[in-house]
Amino acid sequence: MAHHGNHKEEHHHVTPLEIFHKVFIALIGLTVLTVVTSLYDFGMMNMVVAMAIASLKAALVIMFFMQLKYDNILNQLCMISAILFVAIFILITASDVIVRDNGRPMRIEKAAQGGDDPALMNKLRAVTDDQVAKGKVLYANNCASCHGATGGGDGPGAAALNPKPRNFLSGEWKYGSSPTRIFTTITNGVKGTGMSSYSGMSVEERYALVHYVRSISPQKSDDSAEDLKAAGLDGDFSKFKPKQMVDVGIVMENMAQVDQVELPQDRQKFSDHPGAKLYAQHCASCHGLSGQGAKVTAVGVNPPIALYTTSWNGLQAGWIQDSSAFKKIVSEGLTGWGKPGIGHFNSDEWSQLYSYARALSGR
Amino acid sequence: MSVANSDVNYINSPKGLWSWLVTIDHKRIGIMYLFTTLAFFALGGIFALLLRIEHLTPGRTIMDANQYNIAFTLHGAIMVFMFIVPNVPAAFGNFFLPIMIGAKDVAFPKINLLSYYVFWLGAILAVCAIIFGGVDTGWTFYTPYSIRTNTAVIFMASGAFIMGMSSILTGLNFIVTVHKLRAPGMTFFHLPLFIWGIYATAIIQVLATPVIGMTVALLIMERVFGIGFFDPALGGDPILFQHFFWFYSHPAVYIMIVPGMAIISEIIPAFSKKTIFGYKPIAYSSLAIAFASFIVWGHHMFTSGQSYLASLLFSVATIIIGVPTAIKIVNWVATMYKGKVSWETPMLYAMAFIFMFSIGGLTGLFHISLAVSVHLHDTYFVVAHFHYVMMGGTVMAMLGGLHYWWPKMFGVMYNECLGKIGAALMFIGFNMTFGSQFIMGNLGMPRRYYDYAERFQPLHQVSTVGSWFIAASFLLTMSYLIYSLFKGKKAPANPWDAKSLEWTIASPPPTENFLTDPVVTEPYPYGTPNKARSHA
Amino acid sequence: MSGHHEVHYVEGTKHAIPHHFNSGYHEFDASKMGMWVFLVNEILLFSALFVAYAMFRAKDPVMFHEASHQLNKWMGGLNTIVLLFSSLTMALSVGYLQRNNTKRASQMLILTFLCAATFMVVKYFEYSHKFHAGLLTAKFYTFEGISAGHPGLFFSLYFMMTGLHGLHVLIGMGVIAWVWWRTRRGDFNEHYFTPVEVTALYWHLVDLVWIFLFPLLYLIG
Repeated sequence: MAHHGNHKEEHHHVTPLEIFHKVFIALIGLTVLTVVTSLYDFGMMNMVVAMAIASLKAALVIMFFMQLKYDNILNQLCMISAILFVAIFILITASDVIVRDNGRPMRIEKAAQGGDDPALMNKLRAVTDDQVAKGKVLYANNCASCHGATGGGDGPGAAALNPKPRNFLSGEWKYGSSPTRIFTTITNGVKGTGMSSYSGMSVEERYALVHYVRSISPQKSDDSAEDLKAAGLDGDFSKFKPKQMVDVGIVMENMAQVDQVELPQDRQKFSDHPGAKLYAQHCASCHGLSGQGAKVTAVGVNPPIALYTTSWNGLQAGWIQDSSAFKKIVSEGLTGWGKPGIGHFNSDEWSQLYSYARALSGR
Repeated sequence: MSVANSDVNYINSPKGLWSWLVTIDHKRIGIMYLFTTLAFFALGGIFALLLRIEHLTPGRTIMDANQYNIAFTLHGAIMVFMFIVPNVPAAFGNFFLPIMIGAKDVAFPKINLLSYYVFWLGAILAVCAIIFGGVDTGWTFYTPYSIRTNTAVIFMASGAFIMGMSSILTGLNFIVTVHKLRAPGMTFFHLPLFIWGIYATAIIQVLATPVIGMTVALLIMERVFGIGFFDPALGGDPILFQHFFWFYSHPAVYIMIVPGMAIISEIIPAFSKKTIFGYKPIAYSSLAIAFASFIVWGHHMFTSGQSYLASLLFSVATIIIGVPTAIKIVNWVATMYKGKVSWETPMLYAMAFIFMFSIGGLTGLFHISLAVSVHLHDTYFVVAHFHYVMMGGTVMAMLGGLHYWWPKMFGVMYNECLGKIGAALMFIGFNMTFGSQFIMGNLGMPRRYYDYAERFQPLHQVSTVGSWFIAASFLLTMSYLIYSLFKGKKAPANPWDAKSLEWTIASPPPTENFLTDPVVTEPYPYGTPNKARSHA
Repeated sequence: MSGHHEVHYVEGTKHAIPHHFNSGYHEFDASKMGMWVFLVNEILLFSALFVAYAMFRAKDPVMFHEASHQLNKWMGGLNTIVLLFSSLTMALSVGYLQRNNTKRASQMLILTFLCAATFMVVKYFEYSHKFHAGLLTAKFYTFEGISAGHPGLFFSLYFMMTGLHGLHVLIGMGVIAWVWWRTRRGDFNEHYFTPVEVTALYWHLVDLVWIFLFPLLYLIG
């Protein structure tokens, strides 16, 4: 049996028993220490402190109880490789999960195409048939899915959106109908709605869209001096450089999320009021059980935002004093403010709801 | 060292079925693994043929869409968990690893036998999954679908879990055996390269397999107890499942291919009559692949919605892993340069390996560039890519190894002429089946789809006919191999004039492996004819 | 040609050295390495749960903070001390065997076993409290005292982590009972104690995992 060779030492390592006792006492001491430190709050350092103590304890167990300190290099390598690969596992997974979920979309600056050239911008601002034709194609590819093929705000995507996309045939404009105003809207998107930023398109493409959209609208105005100033077209053009604001994947993820509402913990006031039940069904999820206001986060719009509904207590706004204004706001919503339109009430229900909202405001 | 070809060997001593079932001889366990995994290969192959026949025409040919989903899932799961992962390490590794390092057995023979029966336990659960309605998630079990489908996911997942344990036990055994049981003179750099490959594989098995165990266990828990880790409705993260899954399953790709490369590293010097070129680079590259395989898993997830940062890291890391792989291929080719190359069946398979694995490897580069990956993701291009690697690589190497070591394992020679025909049929059939899929994938044919656009039909038909060539090749190969067991010419101890330790002992080997303790001076000593080595 | 050869025994025991090892120490050395490789595999097995913990905690630290208040840190602390003590007695039992003191060694093994049993009893009380309060895995979670996020996830993690750990304790109890029985039978001496040694390594790993579970689950509040 002479083979399998050369073992340098053929005897077992014998650790003095006192070492085991000492290590045990140290372990108990560290356990007490970790419980005591947990009673104090070090903020972010809580985790670091707890893990440092746990690692120290683990090192003691490994070195002395498991006798790795006296063991051969192979067994030590086993332990080292286990730690190494667990570290790889955690760190690389974190490079996705933690980075992905912080809700901060990546900005990708793309090379500008004429965005900082005033002459070009002014040239593009003027409508030509060529631009309208080009805009029509771009519209069909980029806009029609929500705004509708004919611009009626009734595209297939509109069904899922709240607030609804702009109906270009109505002649109504919330953010202005002058070329520069529409250009700004396309560039920046509308916070709190499904209208995302299309700044990834070149300036020329965006202007082509402007002119097409204007061509189908029954009512529009021309650029005033204020429009140009507000848009920055009288000086700094660099902000019109095309850039992609929000990653599509993140948009999809956020659109799929359920709204989260932080509601004040309370009971509903006037719960025997005839409008109380309607209010609880249709309004309380955002306005709080008794109109106290609430924080609504991660609503399904792009970019994802947090909304605050204000308290109605002692409210003096016009809609609370006029039932037709109330009806208009509730049924049509507030574009750009995140207030969805809620309708389908009959006239009894409208008056009950109005009366209940007035009661909540203290009238 | 004298060789006494005797009638007493590991096959016939002791006799009887029971003595096989309770054997702790690594050679017998290896043989049992070999036939078991080949049987599962045939089963997985039948599903593959059915899938191909279904694609002969668009729409329904022989099965409906649900049956199709089940068929491709079972094809994948059986091939991965029951054939390609255990096949080379557990069959050839078990048989040859102790012999090639000059040991009498693996370090823990009883654990070795245990791993075989644990494998069977897992296999039975997987077969239960087939009986109880099949599984339709794909072999990847992606959540959240795998949480919701009504098919027998739990059976298949527990089967995968248990077969994973078997794989771990095998890997553990090999690591300790290589470290502790080498013959005198067998330093790490005298180890045959097959051992380096199996050793690297064993490391991956031990480090990665427990994670898939935990992953499928969590999937079962998810279905039974609703733990919510992977369910977005409960606050979980479905992509986390993919991280867990690929933390094992990407290294597992190397569990599949590295042993194949290890076999090729044996065959090429033996049939070039030349010492392997670049021994150390090949040896180190196995370890490099083993390590790097753990930092690239996210390249399966470029379109899953993972962060750009992660995609970027994984893309770069994946480019790096091409380096050790290329080192191997360059060294194999360099070994043949100015060698006395002879073209017996094992060498033909080795050539097929180099050709097809290179294609498989190079098309991998398309997938790791982020932008192109989006275009090719989940198309037949991917299917063709991994079949070129897994089947064109590992299965070719396995067939090469089977022919190379057949005389040693069973003491008989197979019919060389039929062997060459089989290899040629395989080469033609394989390239027809999967070469056409590269084209289809690039044209936009998505994978795992039941139906397809009519313009793809000619290519699908080429692919299907190719699969019949492959089937014919297998039937031919298995028939002449089995025939040789009964009527084959008796094999000499060293029919190929190869140099590693297994060829210094009788064919088939005696139970004890070595009658006298072997002493090793260098690996692949082709330069120095060793008179003591017997050329029977 | 005979496959038979002389059978060697480890000095003073009935343990036959398998034919593929040179000596008793050679076998011990290989077995110990086998156990270490197995422990690597165990660590990676647990690591998946630790990764899940890290990711979910990073996403919602407030929920973890609140949810961990529902765990009883004194019971957890008691269990920590019990397990640490069992690790000591396990290490001592190997130490006594190396000194040929079989009697003390088997006493230490009994103590280890009892500690493990105590651990499981405490665990039982903790679990039954959770079941009653509705602090269950995410889907079955009914407790209403935590407002932040998805506290069910924390308890899923709690049950998975402590459940897998508890399973290891149970398996450990079985193995410890077996080596205790063999120690009493006189199978082991200073030259041969491999089964006790590898059991000890396993048991220390079980302790090791708990050393991390305790602060991560109980003390982050």
